Order: sequence, then C-alpha cells, then structure tokens
Amino acid sequence: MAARRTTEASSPKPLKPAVFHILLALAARDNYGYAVMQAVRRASDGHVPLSPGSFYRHLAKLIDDGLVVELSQRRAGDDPRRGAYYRLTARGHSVLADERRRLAALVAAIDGLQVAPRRGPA
Amino acid sequence: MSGSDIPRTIADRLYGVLLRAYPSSFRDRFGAGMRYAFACDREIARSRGWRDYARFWLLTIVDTIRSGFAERSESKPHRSREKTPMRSWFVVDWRDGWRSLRATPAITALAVLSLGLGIGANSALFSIYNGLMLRSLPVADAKRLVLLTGEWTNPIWEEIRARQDQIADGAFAWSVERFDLSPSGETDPVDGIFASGRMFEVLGVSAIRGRTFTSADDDRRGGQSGPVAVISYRLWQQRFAGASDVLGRTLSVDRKLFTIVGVMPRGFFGPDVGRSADVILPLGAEAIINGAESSLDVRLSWWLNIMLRLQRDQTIGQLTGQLRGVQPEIRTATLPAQLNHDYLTEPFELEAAPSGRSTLRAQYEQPLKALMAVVGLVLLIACANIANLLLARATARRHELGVRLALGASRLRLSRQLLGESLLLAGAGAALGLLFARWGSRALVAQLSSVSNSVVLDMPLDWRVLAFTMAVSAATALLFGMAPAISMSGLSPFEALKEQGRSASGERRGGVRQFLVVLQVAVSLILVVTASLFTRTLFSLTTRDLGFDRDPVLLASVTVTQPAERRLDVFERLRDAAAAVPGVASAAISFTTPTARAGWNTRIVVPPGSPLKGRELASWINAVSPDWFRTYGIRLAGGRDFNSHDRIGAPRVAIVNRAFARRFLKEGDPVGQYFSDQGPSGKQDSFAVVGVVEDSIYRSIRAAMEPTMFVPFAQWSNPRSVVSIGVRSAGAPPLSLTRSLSDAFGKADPQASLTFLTLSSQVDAALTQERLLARLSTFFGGLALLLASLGLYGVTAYSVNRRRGEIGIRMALGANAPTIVRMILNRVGVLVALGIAVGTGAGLWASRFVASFLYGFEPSDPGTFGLAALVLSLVAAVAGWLPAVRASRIDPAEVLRIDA
Repeated sequence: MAARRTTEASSPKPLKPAVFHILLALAARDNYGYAVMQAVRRASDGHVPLSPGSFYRHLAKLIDDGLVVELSQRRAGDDPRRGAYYRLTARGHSVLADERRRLAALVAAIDGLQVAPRRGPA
Repeated sequence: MSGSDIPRTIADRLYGVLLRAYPSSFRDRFGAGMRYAFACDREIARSRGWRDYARFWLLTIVDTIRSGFAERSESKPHRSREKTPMRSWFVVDWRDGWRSLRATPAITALAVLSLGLGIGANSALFSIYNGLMLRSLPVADAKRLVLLTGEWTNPIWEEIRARQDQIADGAFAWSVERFDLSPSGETDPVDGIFASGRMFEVLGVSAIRGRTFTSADDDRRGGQSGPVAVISYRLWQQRFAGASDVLGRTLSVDRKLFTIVGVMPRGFFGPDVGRSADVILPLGAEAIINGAESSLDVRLSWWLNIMLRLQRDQTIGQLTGQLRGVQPEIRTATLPAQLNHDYLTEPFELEAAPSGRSTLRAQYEQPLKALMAVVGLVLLIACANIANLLLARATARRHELGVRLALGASRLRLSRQLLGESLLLAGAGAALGLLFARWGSRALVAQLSSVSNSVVLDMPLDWRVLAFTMAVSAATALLFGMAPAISMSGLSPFEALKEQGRSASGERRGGVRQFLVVLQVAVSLILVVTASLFTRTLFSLTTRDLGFDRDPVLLASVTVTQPAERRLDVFERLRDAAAAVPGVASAAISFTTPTARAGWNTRIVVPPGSPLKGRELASWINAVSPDWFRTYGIRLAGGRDFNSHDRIGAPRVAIVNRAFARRFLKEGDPVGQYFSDQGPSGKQDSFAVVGVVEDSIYRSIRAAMEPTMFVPFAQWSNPRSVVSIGVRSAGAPPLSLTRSLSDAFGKADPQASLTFLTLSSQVDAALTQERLLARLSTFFGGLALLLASLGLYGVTAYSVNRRRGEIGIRMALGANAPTIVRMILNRVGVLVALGIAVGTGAGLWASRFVASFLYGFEPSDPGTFGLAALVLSLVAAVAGWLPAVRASRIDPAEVLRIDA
C-alpha cells in the first residue's frame, strides 16, 4: 500500500489547497471525516470545494503517504455512523511545518520587493 | 451497534449504488464516512429548497462517478490480476472504432451521408408530425384547455361567456379570418383572428411589447383606447422591421383603422396550429369591420370556435356535465327564429385541446403517416447498404481480426469494437440527420402553403424530436451493426490466418449479403410502386377534363363597401369596366368560382314517391351574370344564356347542368321544365329552366360531376359584399392583365378591394396534397432506387472480386467474355427476380393503405407494378453490368500467377 503513490513529504512542490486545509484541520484536533470536511469548508470560506468523493480520495492518499493515520479506537458515545477518526502523524506535522516555511519565505520574498498596492496617479 | 442497524432511506440506498463506482477496497475503508457525509450534506441541501436539492443530487452523481472511476484507474497497477476495469471498456471501443472508420474515409463518408439522409428524412417528417399533432400550445398549463366541439354563434358564445367563471376557469371564442392590410386598391391579405377579450388571459400569454387586449377592449365600438389590434412577432418583423415605436401606430384592417397596442412573443401563433394569427382583433371589432352585416347578433351564423380552461382538479367529464346543466338556458336564450328541431337537444361536447385546434390535422394526418412509412423504408434500405459495407469490410479484415484473436483478444472485445464503429456511424448520421431535418421540415411545410392558404408551423427541436432521432439512430445502429458483429462469432483464428480472407465459410456471409440485396430490391419496388401510384394520381387529376377552361381565366375577388341594395349596380359597373379593358375577351360576375373553397348548396324538391333521399337531394348552386359560361369555357348544350332581362321582378329562371337534368328533371328536353328548391328556412322557390350546360367541376377535383344549378346574379336579392369577377383573356397570359384591370376597377369604384388569382393557380392549390405526395414519393423512390443499385453494385463487384481465381480458370479453359458476363448477370438476375417477387407480394398487401389517396385506378393496378418491376430490372442490369464487364476483362495469366 505504502508504495502506491509518490510521497508528498519528499517533494518540494507546494501542497494542493485542499490537502493543505485537510492537514491544517487535523493539526487542530483528531476528527472524523465529515467534521474535517466541514472544517475545511469553513476555514477556506467555501473557496476549497470539497465533495465527499474528492475529500476521501485526498484522505486515502494522505494515509498511504503516512501523513495521517486512522485511529483504531473510537471514543465512547460517538455516533458509529460517522466512520473512523483520523489523526495527523509526526510526518504530517513536519510536512505542514515545511509548507509553513515555504509560505513564509514567499511572503518574505514579496516583502523584500516592497511591492505595495498602487495608490493611483502620483 | 453496527452501522447496518440504522434505518436507511431510499436516497441512502441510491448513494450505496453510486458508491459501487469505487473499487471495493476503497468502499470498505471509507464507505461509512462517505455515507455519513452524504447524509449530512443532503439534509443541508434539502433544507435550502428544491433547486439546491436538485443541484446537490446532480453534483453528487457526477462527483461520485468521476472520482470513482478516477480511483479505479489509479489503483489499476495494484490489481493487475483482476478483471478489466469498467472504464477501459468504453475508451478502447470508441478509439478503435474511430481509428478503423478513419482508415476508410470514403466508405465512412458514404455511410454517414446515406444515414444522414435516411435519418434526416425520418426526423423531418416526424418534426412536422410533432408540430402538427403532438406539441402542446406554447401557453401556460395547456393541459387544462378544452375545445367545445363544432362551430358556434355569437349569441351562444355570449351566454357561455356570462357563465365562464362559474363552470370553468375562463373561456374564450375566436374565429379564423383573413384580413386585408392594404389601405386601398389591391388587397394585401394576412392571416388573423377575431378573439374575445379574455383570450390572452385564459391562455396565460402576455405581450413582449405593449399589452394584450382585455374584455374592456372587446366592444362593438372599440374600448377606451378605440379600436385596437395585437400583432404577431412575425408581422412585427416583416411589416414593421421590428420597429421599436410600433406601438400606437395605426393599422388598416379591411379598410378600417386600428391602433396597435401589443406585439406577441415569437413562438405564439394563436389557438390554431398550422396557421399564424398575425393580426388579432377583439371579437367586438367584427361589428366595426362588417358594419350592418355583422354576424354578432345573427343566431344562424356559426362561425366561432370556443375554448375553455378547466378549473384545477376539474375533469373534462365534470365540465361537460356542468355545461349540459346550463345548456337548456343557453339554447332557449339563443333559439333562432327559424326553428331547427335539433337545436335545443343537441348536447354540448368537449374535447381535450392541449395542442390547440387545427384544420390541417384531419387533412394531413393520413398523408403524413403514409410518408413516414415511405421514409422508414428508405432508411431500411440505407441500413441494408451500410450493413453490406461493414460486412464487406469485416470480411476483408478477417486476417487482422484473426491475428488479434490469436494474440488473445476476446471475441466479445472484437464484437464490441465493431458495434462501437456502428454506434459512431449512427451518431454521425444522426447529427447530420438533425441538420437535414431542420432544413427539410421547413422546406416541406413551405410546400404545403398555397396561394390562398399559408401554412405556418412552429417546429422546434424539442425533446420528442430529439428522442425520436436518437431512437431511430440507435435502432439503425443495431440493425446494421449486428450483421458484422455476428459474423465475428464464427471466426476461428487458425482459419482466418491460413486463408487470408478466402474460405468456404465466407460463402455463408455471402448469403447474408445476398439476402440484404433481395430485401433492398423488394423494398425499392414498394417505394417505386408508391411513387408511381401517387404520380399517376396527380397526373390523372391535373389532366382531368374539368368541364371549364382553366388557362385563360383570371379571377378578381372584389369586396365593396356599399350597402346591399346598391351592390348589384356597383358589381355590374365593375364587370363592364373589366370587359372594356383591351385584351379581355369577356368578363362575368359570380358568387363563387370553380374549385374555390366556398360552396353553396340547396335541396331540390322532388315529387312524393321519388327514390331520391338524403344527400341525393342536394344540388350545388351558383349565382352568375350573363356571359359567365362563355368566360369559363363551359359549353351551352341547349336553351339560352342569362341576359339583362333576368332581373328581380322578372320570372325566376335557372340554367342547370346535365347531371342536374338527369337526376331531377323529367326525360326529354329540360328547357321549359320547372323545379323548386327549399332553403334552410323552409321557403320554397320555383324556377323555370331556360338553358342546359355541359357538366363541370364545382368544388372538388376528385368528385364526380355533380348536379349544379345556376341562377341569374341579378335575381339574387341579397348579394354579399364580396364576389368574383372572372375575366377571360383574349390571348395574352391572364396575369398580364392585372395592372390594367386594377386601374379600370379603381376608376369604376375607388373603394373596392381586389385580389387577383389565376384560375389555373386556384386549381393547382386544390391539388396541393396530391402534388406533395407525388413529389415526395418520387424523390424517395428515386433515392431508394439509387441506394438499392449501389447495394447491388457493391455485392456484385465484391463477389466478382472473390471469384477472380475461378473466373480466371474458366477463361483459361476457354470461356469467352460474353459467357462470363452472362454468368455474372444470371446471378444478379436471380437476386433481382427474387426481390421483385417478394416486393410485389408485399406491395399488393401494402397498397390498400394508400387506396384512399388514389384517383382513377385501383391500388393493385398491374400496369403500375409491371412498370416498377421493369424500372428496377433496368437499374439492376446497369448496376450488375459494370462489375460483369470488369470480370470479363480479367487476365487469366495474371490471376493464376498470383494464386499460385
């Protein structure tokens, strides 16, 4: 299973927005699928469209890449219909940290250029 | 507690089915979570209203299928040992089909073209059928519209109008009119209607410019805005070039002025299907247009159609019951002075009218069905041709397919590829067919219009037409795709590799191909027979001796504005003016003209004990001026023509035709005998016969010569405001007289409105249906012949090719060219003879269905069948001759060398 796809962790490419938001949501707390979906929709203000189909495909990839694990134990009193809970692994945290650094570097680069919004004709 | 304990709704189950798009391993891992997410999202979408809910379902279906298949294809390397993933089924088949079609562009183009023609002809006729018969009126909730069967008087309508909201959800009445938009001189006719005030409201349509009129405008003096008119989109575009300031302009309708207050939307053509209500006037305006002769208060004038709208949840039966409940009141209140004993008791009948009313329906339903059968057969021939082409190609590709089989392709896979080709062909044919149908159906409808009757039919590409085209294309794909796919099933890789496309088993498929040729010949025979039946009918009708001269006569339909008592003078002045025009041999006035649509009949009184009864007592009647018979070329067989002394006050006289004399008068010379007729009011008039004329056609060209009596126009006490003045040209083409006549009429009476028409075009207009059937069936018969000869040529050429070796050996052994040609043609002859035999049998059976369209001979006419068989044999001989001659030129040495 693990060999199924190229790993995101080793790739220097930026994360897809949906993937980034899923990792972000799981970094906040362990959760079940639909709650993560809703968190992503809320956090992105609806700009990251997530259908159950695409969400679970992303999730499958993240699990295969070892960034997320499925929790084997359920909390007592949970609605069994929600399905499994998921947690970010240490590797997942580090990928998120890499992404944070990448974005910070980008912001710094932009600040360094001192690109400011135009204020109309001088 | 496990997930399966939770009750599931139908939506959940449906989603469960959709989830099968994912690989089972994926379902096992995430299925529960996905179901839960689906259920939550569904609740949210449902709470937002049906639009969001529908969108949610659409997105869910698309998303699930898309990501399901994407997941499958990505996990493919993982499960290489499992069965072929579903997606590749489609991809491979289309791609291979497309490649092999592209490899033979000529065959593909030929196939697509003949399919396009075949499917297009079917779709074109179906769009007409759909537009005329099936489509609902483009109004709100057309399902609730019902029509009061028959035609009604305005007093009856006014009684129904007073009760419309008690018994129904509104009602309206309208009459079909042809209005004259020209302010003076020659008329400018357009189709229009008088409609009661609430028509637009009851139909639920509104204007795109300005307003529609309402009950307030439906007044005999015009409403607050004076006399108003609503015009169609078509008229707005054609006459006013879509001018934005059209509202408020005046429109001259039958020489009266109306103000345009609204323009209807593009698709609205009124309650009649097949004509366009270009000018819509309030019913009350009839009094403005017809003045003292208004029919609004006439209790015996049956000229209105009445449509009602059912209340919600009201059935047609309930409304009929309510209508019949008030029927006695309505009938008693509107009883005509001359009592007709059926009047009080004849019950009101309603019919569902979601698709409006149409006089064309009855006229064209049968011809349309006959033509649809014809084009269906043409498509069948086209299918047989394409099946033959594909079969030939499949046979030629046996080697290739054999290799693929040997390399491990499954038979199913190869058959699927062949079927994929067929579907691609059918799809391309359908697309071309739709284009052809758009153009063809409009061209056909244009053919239906005649000088006096313009047919306007809205034929959008709606779901019915699309579904019909798709169904026809799918059926054709199956028909012609099956043959090659089946032929695959017997293919053995070993044999196919060994034989390089030549073997004993090839002969079996040769059998299929020959069967297809026999079928084509048989079907073409039927179509050629149909075409010649219709053409002969048209020919016998156009060459029938109608009893009058149609070529030299020009008809002027004249409408005058004077009151009834002064009209005779005006008409005679106009007639004299016409007779004085240079180039005019004679001119005469009459109530109606031969083959015109208007007719007038009466009942002849017979002595008690006469065997005549019912319809046999009827005679046509026409009021004519002196010189009328000379003008129309009807020969006087005895007695005298009318003269200027036959006027009101003088003894009443009549001229009768021979059919009349035979049926109603005593033996011997009819001149000098007396007879009486009885009008609808029961009043009897007695006439002295002063002349006898030869028989001529009164109205229907198909009818036998019917009894007709003529009375002097000047003895007609109450002439209508419109008459026909017939003008016989001294030699020049009658239409060339139009201008000088128009000037002469204008001097005699500047108020009169005129419409010119030649008598021959009036006769032609009476044959519109026959001409259409003859032309179309000839066209399709020709197409069928062409397709069948192509098929025959293809099969013969192919079989010659296969038998090259054999022919070469025969020639090497001493057979000469004529022997070879004869051998090939013999084979063709057997196929054609078989086809003709089958076609004759089927044609004899089928011809009874067209019997009612024929004139002058029997549908099983042996001459027609013989001629069709001859034509087919000739065409077949040519189609077989070319490959036969090519066969006879085979060089034996070369063939034998290759074969060795």
